[in-house]
Amino acid sequence: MIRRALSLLAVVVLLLISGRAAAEPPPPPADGAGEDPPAEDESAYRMSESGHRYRARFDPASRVSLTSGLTVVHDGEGSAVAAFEVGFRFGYRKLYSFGAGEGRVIWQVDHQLTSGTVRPFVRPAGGVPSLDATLYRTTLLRHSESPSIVLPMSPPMTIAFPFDVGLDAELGRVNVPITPVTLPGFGKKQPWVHIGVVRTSFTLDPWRTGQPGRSLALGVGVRYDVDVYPAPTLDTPRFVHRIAPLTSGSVRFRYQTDDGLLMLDAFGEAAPHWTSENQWAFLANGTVRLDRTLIAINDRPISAFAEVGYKYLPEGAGAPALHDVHGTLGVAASLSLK
Amino acid sequence: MALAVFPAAARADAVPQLAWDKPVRCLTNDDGKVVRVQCETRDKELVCLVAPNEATQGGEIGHTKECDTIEPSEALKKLVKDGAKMVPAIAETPHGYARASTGRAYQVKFDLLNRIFLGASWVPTFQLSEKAFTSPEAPFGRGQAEMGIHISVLSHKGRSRHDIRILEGTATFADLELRGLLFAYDYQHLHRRPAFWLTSFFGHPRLYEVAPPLGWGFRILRVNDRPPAFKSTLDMEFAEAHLAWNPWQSEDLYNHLRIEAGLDFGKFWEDRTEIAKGTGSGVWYAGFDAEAKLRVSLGDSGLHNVNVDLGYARPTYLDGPKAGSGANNITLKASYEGIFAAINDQPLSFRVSAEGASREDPFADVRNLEVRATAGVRLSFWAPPRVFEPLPEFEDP
Repeated sequence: MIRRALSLLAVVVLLLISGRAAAEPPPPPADGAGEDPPAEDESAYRMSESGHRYRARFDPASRVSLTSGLTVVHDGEGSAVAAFEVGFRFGYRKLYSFGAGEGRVIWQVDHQLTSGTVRPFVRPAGGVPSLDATLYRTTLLRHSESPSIVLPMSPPMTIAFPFDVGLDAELGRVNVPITPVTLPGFGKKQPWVHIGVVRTSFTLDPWRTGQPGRSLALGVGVRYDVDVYPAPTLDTPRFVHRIAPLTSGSVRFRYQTDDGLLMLDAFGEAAPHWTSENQWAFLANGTVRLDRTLIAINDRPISAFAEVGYKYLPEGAGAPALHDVHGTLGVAASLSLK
Repeated sequence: MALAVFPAAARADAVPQLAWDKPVRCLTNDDGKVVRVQCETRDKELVCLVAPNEATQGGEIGHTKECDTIEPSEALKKLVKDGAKMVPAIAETPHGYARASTGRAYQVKFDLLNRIFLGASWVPTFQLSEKAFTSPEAPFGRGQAEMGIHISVLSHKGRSRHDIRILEGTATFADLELRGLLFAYDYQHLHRRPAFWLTSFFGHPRLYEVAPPLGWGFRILRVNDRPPAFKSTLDMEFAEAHLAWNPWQSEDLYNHLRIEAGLDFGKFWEDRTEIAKGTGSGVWYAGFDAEAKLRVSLGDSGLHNVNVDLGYARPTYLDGPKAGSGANNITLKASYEGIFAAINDQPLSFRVSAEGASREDPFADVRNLEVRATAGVRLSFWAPPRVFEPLPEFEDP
């Protein structure tokens, strides 16, 4: 298994560092040339019959949003809990374009900062509400009009490479599941915390649209997680460390319309991993989110969203495995950053 | 001292009057007195209205505009020599004033939103007890003194009106029910520029420009001590803030239908004598309140004024034996105030009103109804004439 993972890693590294497909950080554009259009892109605006200029096209990945919604969560005991959920999202997308024609390369860099949701009135045990928050997430995607890789032979050989390449990384994700746990030997249910310290995947995109917000990213990567269990409370925790050494596979499908009013983001991941309990375990999660901008007030978009998600969090420290399923319907009020 | 009675029999309608919006020449006549003259050509004949510049009893006539020209006595002689027809008249008056044949100007239009008033009323009061209206004490023997300061500023630039009420209150005798208000502010506007615009993205994007007639307001310290329904209680609302919607308002924002919804907090004393123990006594409350207000001045003179207020309050008690419980209080007031006379331009008005209140006391688990009527007079001070200048088409951005 490890040998297989290492060989896969070597192939990916070779692909990413070779020739024009290399996923090196984008060089700074000279004098601003090559950056995406300025924020006041006039084509995003229309004129009303009364002469009022208003916005009709948005960048759904570049906005600060406050969300609220109704979520239905599986409570781990065979029934569902309906809960009010509020959230915050801070996202920003930057496009870099270099070259022209066949040699054109576009970098799409998505940042997502301090984003998450909390269910303030659902407290698994004690005073800690159920929440899911991420400190930082970035998605890089490099699109080339004529993708190829160069094999370092003599002379070097260039072969066609039908993928866009990228990187998906997540840092500092904290999840307090709705279902509390009772460790063996203790009598009272307590909240526990799943911390995704870091997760990163190298991705290949066979769809190669070159369009903002449209991609099909197949990834393989590493992740490091820590489960914090109460023994018997979180004041005296018990830790279980989980490391997936390039054994995490993921798929992410993103789609948005040209006007940015509709956005679909589907993500799935399966991560066999080694734990500090000296055994292999399996972690999986997936979400599908559909976001549709319905109205805008003073050009600030208000959208409705639907999201379904699933997490399989494996057993640890004697606590049983958890299937965490949720479905959410809500609205988001946003401030466009571009 | 001058007394004007409305409708006024002293109007000098038959006597020609100089126009306020035309130039006035001040000339000296043969007696050495200044007269005010306006000339115009009518059917090829020069006609001059000549008005004395002082009252027949002597003294200034007041409320005249500045003379556009001051000319020597020869000017009047020259007009006569040139064949001008000299017509005796009375001096011009500004908007909101009329002038008696004696020359004295008197106010005929009043803005009762700007005044200090004192009043006294007869207040027959009843309360429902055991399903029958009975007297709290002496239902027909109640009277009350009342006062208040009202300020209303119409902002032309903002196409808005600011209403302020200060130290408004009533005190009944002899049972000494006190109702008082320290300060209240209300804002309303008639903006033409959209407050915001809304774009819908169902099908083709479509823009809606929205200028909602919304306002807001607040009040500070409203007291009701010994209401007839619960004679032993004291209610002190410390502060209230509300948003308001004006579904109808006149062009000068004087008349309106205003619907308010807000939150308030204060203290309630089930036994009013406990306040002697200090402000730590009583129970805190906070809650929702709403009010629908109709304010109408009939005609353009401000002589007839109708007010209807329907209020609802739901205080929730925050501490004490009934913590968490609430009360539903409803009030309805309708009043008419008509100016029938003015003393030195200070209007005297007759006011009648009917009030009903349904009050709940969760401490005693009792709901009481009280009904009162008032009939009385008010003397108002410094009420200016109503202003009817049209508002600009758009407010300042």
